[in-house]
Amino acid sequence: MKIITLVKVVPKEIEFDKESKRIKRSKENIINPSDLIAIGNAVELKNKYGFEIDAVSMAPVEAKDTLLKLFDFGIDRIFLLTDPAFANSDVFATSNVLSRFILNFDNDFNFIFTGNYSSDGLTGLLPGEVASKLSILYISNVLSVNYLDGSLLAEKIEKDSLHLLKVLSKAVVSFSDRSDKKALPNLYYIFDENEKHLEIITNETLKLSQDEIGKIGSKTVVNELFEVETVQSNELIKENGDKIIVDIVSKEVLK
Amino acid sequence: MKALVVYKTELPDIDYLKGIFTDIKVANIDGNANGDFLPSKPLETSIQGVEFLSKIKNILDFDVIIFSNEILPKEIASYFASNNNLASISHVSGIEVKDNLSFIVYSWKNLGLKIASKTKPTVIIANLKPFSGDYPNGDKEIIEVKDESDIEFVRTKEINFTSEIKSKITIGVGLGVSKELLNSIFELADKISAKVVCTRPVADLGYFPYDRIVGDTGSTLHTDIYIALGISGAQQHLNSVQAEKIIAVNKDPSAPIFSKAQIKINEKVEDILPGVIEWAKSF
Repeated sequence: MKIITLVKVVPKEIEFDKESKRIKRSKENIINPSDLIAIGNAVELKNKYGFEIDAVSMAPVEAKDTLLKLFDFGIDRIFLLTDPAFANSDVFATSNVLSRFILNFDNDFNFIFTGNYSSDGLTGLLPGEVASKLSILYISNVLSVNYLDGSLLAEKIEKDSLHLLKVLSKAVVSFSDRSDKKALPNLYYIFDENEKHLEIITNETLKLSQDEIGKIGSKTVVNELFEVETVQSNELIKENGDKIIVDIVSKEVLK
Repeated sequence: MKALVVYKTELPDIDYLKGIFTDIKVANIDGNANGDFLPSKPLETSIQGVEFLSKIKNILDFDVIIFSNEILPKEIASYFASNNNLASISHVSGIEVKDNLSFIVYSWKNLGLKIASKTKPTVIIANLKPFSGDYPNGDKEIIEVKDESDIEFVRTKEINFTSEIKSKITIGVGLGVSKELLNSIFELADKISAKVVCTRPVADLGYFPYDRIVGDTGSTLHTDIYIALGISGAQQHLNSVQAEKIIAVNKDPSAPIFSKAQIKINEKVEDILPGVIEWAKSF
């Protein structure tokens, strides 16, 4: 029994450089916080029912050190899909890479878990696109999961309702931030002496054509980056801000 | 140009779209509201959604298929786009028409993007305000949809999670607030009966639970006074702030929140907070 977790490595900080009009990403990377929630839920099923957990990530090769930390959380195998040809892929091209790997090399999974959003893009589109390419169910905004008699039980939040779903087939499940099962490093896994591998997979293995990946394989083009309108400096209050806040808030409090 | 709008309960602003598209059709996935295309039963999964949409005659002739920013429509949007090799763009706050269509997406802090599509139609998830009028009955074409065989709905219950936060006074915490100030902020909030919310990056750092996020990926805030501390003012946060008055405190004079705030205080949060707390202690 296997769960694949889709993991994104994201920059710790992102800034927009006004002069070069380019996005500056910090050198320090982290695991996408929403994906840690998916991993937390996967590890709970591993501990209860013995699932194996694979982590699959498409990222530059520099992400390797960040991904290696996932072994401490309870991940069994890590696959880093990396190739210069994957650079500048939008969500469509990225889902081509992930789904090709899963279909050809890791297809004996039961479920795919991932976060609802990545903190650097927030598009939330990737899980559905991967599910579509694998022709399996997609369920988003899941609060918690359990496993019973070969089926996944998933609690899905939709507006002010909580649906309990019994999932009878393979599925991509993306988790709500409201789930309280964020993965943490675990001493048991940190000191686990079983040999663990991070495997690097390039396009030599995946054999995707140029029109499926990268800029050419993408379906969208960013034509322009622009700055949101800001105010003139003379409109700004430069001192006594505390007194102004007190004046406004005290009137409201005394109402 | 032609657009198809797909929604569950929150129809995006049709009046805005009429300024761009000459022909607009509407599909309601619950099947119980006005629309031109309705499923034979309320849709429950993305696969049913793709089946429903694929049975709409000439659906690929639309220039844009616009999905509301709701859970199931978003699921269907990504699944349908990938299934049909179409471009998909989320968080679209505006559409610009020049030679081609550009989709405007607001990103971190003061960054905006104009994104073009290589496909027709383009699938977008729109962050437009809800349509306030009644959409006309339309043709109400009923489209037969099969039951989903791979999923069983065991039960549904109402939950206390609310997608709306209401408070007379609210303090918002952004990345411009250091961790050391958080206790003081909660102390202040307690004294003035304010709620404390945050932006998504602050929750990602683990300083706040995720249910305190206000923004496109969190809750909507309704408040009289919003004291935004160290919040840059990304559109994805401000879209969900409904405040009579915004007091913004930020040391960065170019922070976009100043263009939305009525009171624009260009000081460090740590410089103004002690004075406000001192006053609040008198309560």
